[in-house]
Amino acid sequence: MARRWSRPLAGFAAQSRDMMMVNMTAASEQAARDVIYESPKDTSRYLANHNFSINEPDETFDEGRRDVSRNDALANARRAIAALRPGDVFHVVNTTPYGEFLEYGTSRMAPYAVYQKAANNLREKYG
Amino acid sequence: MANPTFESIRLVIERRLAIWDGVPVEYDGAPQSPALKAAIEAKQSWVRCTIQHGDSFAPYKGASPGVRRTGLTQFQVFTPERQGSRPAALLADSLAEHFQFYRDAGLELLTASVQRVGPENGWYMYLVSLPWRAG
Repeated sequence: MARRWSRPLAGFAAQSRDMMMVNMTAASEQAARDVIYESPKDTSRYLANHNFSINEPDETFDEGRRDVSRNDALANARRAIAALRPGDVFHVVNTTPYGEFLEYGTSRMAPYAVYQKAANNLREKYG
Repeated sequence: MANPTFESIRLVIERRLAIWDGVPVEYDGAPQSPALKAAIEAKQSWVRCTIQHGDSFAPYKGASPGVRRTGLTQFQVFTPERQGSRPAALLADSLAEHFQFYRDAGLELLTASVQRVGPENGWYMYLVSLPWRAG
């Protein structure tokens, strides 16, 4: 008697791909929201210069870019996240020259640790 | 065990730091102690402690949800400029030794990592970070 699966196993491929994308999208959204909302505002130059891209890091910096409402940064992130496909890598990059001082602090200032906190949250939630 | 409070987290970390046998420390939001002021004045090593809060979770729910809070303990280690990286490395080792895997009142500190920041405004700086979990 021939034994067969009641359903074709290939059907699970699409399902597991979908589940992977749910996690991928949620983790990317968390990374984006963390860096955007943990950023100090001040001139908003630093927070406007978070770059969100897929597979290739975007290391550009625009001196004149501003985003007082944080909406543009979030919209940029959502645009990149919407284009994610299975197996892609989501990059969040900020090359603002004084970004290092915000991240690690100085002798006059405690660290904001924007990216370190985002990384720690991702590690806690997604392992 | 009762759920961790933000104050209990602060207490565990800062009390542990208070018995560290190292250099003068600047606590977050507190005025600088005379010892710290003297060290900075004399260009001697000092450390600033900052507790960074991350996400909180409720890994199990029900009648009394269990809360887990997470974050980072960060130490900015400042040593005199132009004396190499050894003084900063030794202080980072001392802090790691004192804090790594320390547990108290439901809080656990994890492994220490160092980020070299280097020369900064007359100092040489290392940043020591230890993730923590409470609850």
